[in-house]
Amino acid sequence: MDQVYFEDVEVGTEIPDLVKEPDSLQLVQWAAGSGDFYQIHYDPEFAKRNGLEGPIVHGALKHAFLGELLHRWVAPGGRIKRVACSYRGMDLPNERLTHKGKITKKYQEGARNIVELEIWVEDADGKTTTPGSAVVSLPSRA
Amino acid sequence: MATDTPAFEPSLTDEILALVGVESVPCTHEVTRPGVRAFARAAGYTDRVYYNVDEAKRCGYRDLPAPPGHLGFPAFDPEKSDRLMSWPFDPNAPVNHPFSPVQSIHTELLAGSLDLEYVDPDICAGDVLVSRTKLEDIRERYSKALNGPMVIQTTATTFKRDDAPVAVYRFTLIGYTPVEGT
Repeated sequence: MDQVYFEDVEVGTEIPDLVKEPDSLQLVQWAAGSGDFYQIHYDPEFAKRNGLEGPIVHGALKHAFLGELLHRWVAPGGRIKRVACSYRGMDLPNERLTHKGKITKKYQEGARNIVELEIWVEDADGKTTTPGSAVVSLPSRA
Repeated sequence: MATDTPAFEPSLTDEILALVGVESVPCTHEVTRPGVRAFARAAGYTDRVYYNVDEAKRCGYRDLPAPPGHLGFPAFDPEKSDRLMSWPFDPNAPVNHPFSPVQSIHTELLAGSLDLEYVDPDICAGDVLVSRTKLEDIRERYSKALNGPMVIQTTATTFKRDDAPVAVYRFTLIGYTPVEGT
């Protein structure tokens, strides 16, 4: 992958989207890969007994997707310093989720080149279900 | 100002409210190659840096790097660990992990927010981290969407490697009890 450098980014620029469509297989893989075995994410009857329409996508999986969005942009030389998001809406399996990011600030902190971003998840209707923010460091061309 | 919020019986006792600021006993988390691969595979990563040690070292890591959000697995103990979330649970400890104490008040839980800040982002397979969870806030209010009261708690879990902080995992969790007919 092509490296993005600190000097080349500008406030207001959007980073490349990451599209995911998590299915029940991925939710089960996530349960095993994260250690979160809460049944509302894979057992339809359990989810309904808890007042939900059916299984929902793990919040932490959406957080991980946002982490991947950032990793794809900063790798291999950049590093992720912070990933934060709020779960304002539930997302259902087998629906298209688009992960987005926009640069809000860039500055140097000591020897580090810091970039702050607004990040978010949009559902298939374009509604933001998971707004958030992030901080990354990028390498310099110097 | 008038409000149409129905009255409800508070579930947060003075004893629970007094837990704000209390820190859990330490919990050990192991970052392993199989664990890193399983997490990366589950999230759908295709970057070989999370699967191939040579590729990871070529990119400047000591070993397979932990993907964002992965802080290893709590060392599982069948006599102590929580069945759902795998963290050890000490019934005598007031605060255990990011799911307590709300887990003892309501059985149904929803994630509210997650804020992961790295002090050192280069956490790699082979690292052993030790976490402590502190209850930062707990409150209760009526939810129209849930048609009943809900408890909202925020915890901050600090992860250390060799006694030096590497990450802070701040998590808001909502607990509720389903109401029939909703």
